[in-house]
Amino acid sequence: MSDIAGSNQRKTENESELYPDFSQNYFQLFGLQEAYTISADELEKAYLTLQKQAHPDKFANDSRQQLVAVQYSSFINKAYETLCSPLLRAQYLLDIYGISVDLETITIQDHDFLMEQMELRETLAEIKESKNPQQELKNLMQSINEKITGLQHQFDDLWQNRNNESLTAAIPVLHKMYFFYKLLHEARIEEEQLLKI
Amino acid sequence: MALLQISEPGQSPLPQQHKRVVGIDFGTTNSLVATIQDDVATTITDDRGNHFLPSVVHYHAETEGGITVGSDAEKFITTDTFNTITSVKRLIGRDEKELKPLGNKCFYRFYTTQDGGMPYIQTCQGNISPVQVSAEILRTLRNRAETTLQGELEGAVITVPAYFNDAQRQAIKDAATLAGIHVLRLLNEPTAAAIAYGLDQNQQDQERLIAVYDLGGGTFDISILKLTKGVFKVLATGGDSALGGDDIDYNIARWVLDQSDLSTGEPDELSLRQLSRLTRQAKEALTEEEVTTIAYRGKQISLTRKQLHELTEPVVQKTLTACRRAFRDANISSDQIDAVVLVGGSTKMPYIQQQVEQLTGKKPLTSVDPDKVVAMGAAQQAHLLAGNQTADNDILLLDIVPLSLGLETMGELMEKVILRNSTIPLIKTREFTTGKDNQTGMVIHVLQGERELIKDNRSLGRFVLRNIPPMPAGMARICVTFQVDADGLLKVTAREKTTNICADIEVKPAYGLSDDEMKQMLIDAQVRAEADKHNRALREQQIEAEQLLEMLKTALQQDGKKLLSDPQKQEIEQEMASLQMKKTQTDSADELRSAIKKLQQLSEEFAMKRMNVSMHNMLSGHSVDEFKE
Repeated sequence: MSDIAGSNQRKTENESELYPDFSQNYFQLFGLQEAYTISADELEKAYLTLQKQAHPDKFANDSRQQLVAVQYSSFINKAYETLCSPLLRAQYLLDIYGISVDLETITIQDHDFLMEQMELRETLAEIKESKNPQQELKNLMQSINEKITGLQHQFDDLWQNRNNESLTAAIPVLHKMYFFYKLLHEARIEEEQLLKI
Repeated sequence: MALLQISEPGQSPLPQQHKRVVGIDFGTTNSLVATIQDDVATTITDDRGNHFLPSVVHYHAETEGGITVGSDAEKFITTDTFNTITSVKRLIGRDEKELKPLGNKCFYRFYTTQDGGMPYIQTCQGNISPVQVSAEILRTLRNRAETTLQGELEGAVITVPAYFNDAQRQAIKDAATLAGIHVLRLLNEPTAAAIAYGLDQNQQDQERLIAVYDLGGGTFDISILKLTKGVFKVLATGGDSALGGDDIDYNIARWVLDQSDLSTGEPDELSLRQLSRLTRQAKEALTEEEVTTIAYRGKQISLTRKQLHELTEPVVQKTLTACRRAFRDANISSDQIDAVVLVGGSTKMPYIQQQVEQLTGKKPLTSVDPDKVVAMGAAQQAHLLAGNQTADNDILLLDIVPLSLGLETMGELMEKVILRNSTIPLIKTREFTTGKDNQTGMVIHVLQGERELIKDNRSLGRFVLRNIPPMPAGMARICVTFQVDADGLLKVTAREKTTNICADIEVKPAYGLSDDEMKQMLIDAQVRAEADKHNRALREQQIEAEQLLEMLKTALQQDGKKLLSDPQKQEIEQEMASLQMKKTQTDSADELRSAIKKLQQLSEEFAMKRMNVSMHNMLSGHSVDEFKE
C-alpha cells in the first residue's frame, strides 16, 4: 500500500498522466497526412517521440499508469509496424475507407498474373540446381522487387483518385503485392540456405 | 552536513532520498551486483572485497538445511559434486527435452514429475528446482547490496540473455521473487552493455548502429541496436542459449584428456571439473605466450596458441553465423556497423576479438571490463526506472521478442502470432472458431520458436477454454490475445466475442513453477530468512559476550586486586563463568543479551573505579589551569 501512496510524491515533472486516444487512426496518431507515400524519417521521428512519452518504463513507479502505458505503447508499436510496411499500409488505407481486405483468403482471377506467379515459383525451385545459384537468386529477387515497386506506384495512383471505382480497382493490386511479398520471403529463405546462415 | 550543502536557486536537490536500487547480472559462471554511487556505476563487493560471486551453490549433507553460496561453495565442486550446483543458468527454465542436448556438460541427477513438469535436481536436501538454486545466488547478492547500501533494497533490474525464451525469463523472475527482490525490469544483457558504454551520450543527433557480441560462460547473444537521440532500439537479436565459453573449456579439456591417453570415449564430468581450472589458466596464459604447459595427472601437456585457436574455432564459427543472421534480420550489412561492444569473459581472448573485428571491420570496444559491463548498465537502468535520474539523462529502451510466439493449429503445426524481432510491448489478437456443433471447450497450446512443427518448438503452456456458449460449428468467435510486456513476458487471454462471455482460462503449468509450488517455496524462504535473522542476532550477542569477557579478564588481571574486595571479585568471576557457559550453550540471542547486561551492571562499579584511577593518574602532576583551554 505504501508503495502506491509513495509513488505520487516521487513523480517527477516530466512524468505526466497518460490519456491515450485509441480512436485515432494511425496517421492521426503520428501526425501524418493520410497517404500511401509517406516519409519514413517523419514516421520514425514521430514514433520515437510518442514512445518516449508512452513507454511503460516511464511509469515504473506507478503501477496503475503502467498498465495504461503497456496498452498505449503496444498500440503505437502496432501503428508503426503497419505504416512502415508498404503492404500493410496499403491494406490499412483501404480499411479506413471501409474496404476490409483479408489477405489470407485470396482469389485472383487474373490468368496472366497466375501464370507469371507459377513461372517465378518454378524458377525459384530450380535455382539450387542452376550453374550460379547465388547470382540467379539475386537476379530473381531484383525482378520481384521491381514488380513490387510497380504495384506500389499503381496503388498510389488509384489511392490518389480515391473514388469508388479506383478503390475497388486497388483491391487486386493489393492482392498481387501480397503474392510478390510472399515470394520474396521464400526467396530470402532460399538465400539463407545458400549462404548457410 | 546539511548546513554545508548550498544549492543554486531553483536547482535544489529533490527532498526525497535516492531509492536503494541495484542492477544484477546473474551469470552462468559469476554473478554481480552494481549500483550508482555519485553518478557512477560501481560493482558492490562482499566483505572480503570480491566483486564476483561465483554462481555456485552447495547443499550441505552434514548440517541440515545448510547452504553455501559463492567461492566458499566452489571447494565442494570436486569433493561433493552432486550437491554442488554450478552453471544453474544453463538449467533454469528448461524442460527435460531441452536438458538432453547439454549431455555430460550437465550431469546432475534429475527428478521429473510424470506430468512433464520442470525437472528438479536431486540433492542431499531433497529435490531442488533450478529456480531455488538461482534464488540462493540472488539472495546472496541482495544481502551483499543491503549491507553496503545500509538498508532494504527497493528494487532491482535483473539481466537476462536476449535470446532467453519466455519460460527462462519467467523462471528468473520467479527466482527473484523467492529471493525477496522486487524486479523493476528484466533487461536484456546486450542492451545493458550498450547503456553502460554510454553510447547514447555521444553524437546525439547522429544515428548509430551498434553490435553487441556477448559470449558468456553458457550463453551467446548477438544484438544489433540503433541509437537515435537517447533511444536504444533493438533491431534484431540472435544467439544460442546453450553455447558459451564453457564449450571452449570443454573442447580444451577433451583435448587434454586425449593427449594424456586417459580418455575413454566421452570424458566424465568429474575430470572435466578438475580440468576446468587448468584449462582456464592455460587459456589466459596463451593470450601472452605462444605455448603453455598443462600439468595433469603427472603428465606435462603443452598447448600452443595455434592449437587453442583450433579448439576455439567451432564455437567461434557458430557465433559468427548467428551474427550474420542477425545482420540480415536487421536488414543491414556488416560494414554499416558503427561500433562493436564486447561482453563476457570469453571475449577477452585475442582470437575472438580478431574474428569479430574481421567480421565487422571495426575494432571492438573493450574499455569497460566485459565481465562487469552488464551489471553496470543494469544499475544505470535501475537508477533511471526508480526515478533517481534527472530528466536530461533520460534514455528509452525499445526491446524486441527474440523468438516467435504462436499457437498450435491443425496438423501439429505452429501458427505464428508474434514474429521474432517485433518491438515490445505489444498486443496481438487472433480469432478462432469452433469445429463442432455445441462445442463448449477448446485447448489452446502456446508455443515459442521458429520451426514449423510444434514438436520442434518450446511449449509454453496449454490453456483450456471452458464455458463457450453452445452454438453451431463455426459460429463462435474466440479472440485469443497475446500480450508481451516490456520485460518480454507473455500473457495469454481469451474471450468469446459474439456473446461477450469471458471464457474461463485454466493455465496448466507446463513450464516454470505452479502457483502452489511457488507458495511453498516462498514459505520455505521465509522460514530460512527468519532463521538467518535469528542466527545473525545470536552471533552478534556471542561476539559482544566474547568482547566483554575478554575486556573484563584483562581488567581483573590489571586492577582486580587493587580495586575490588575479594567477595566483589569472586562475584564478578562467577558471573563471567556463567556468561561463558551461556555463550556456548544457549540458542537464544535474548537470553544471552540479558546475561551480558547482568555482567555489565555488576562490573559497572569496577569500571567506574578504573576510570577514576586512570583519570587520576593522567591528571596527577598537572595543575587544573593547564586544562582550561
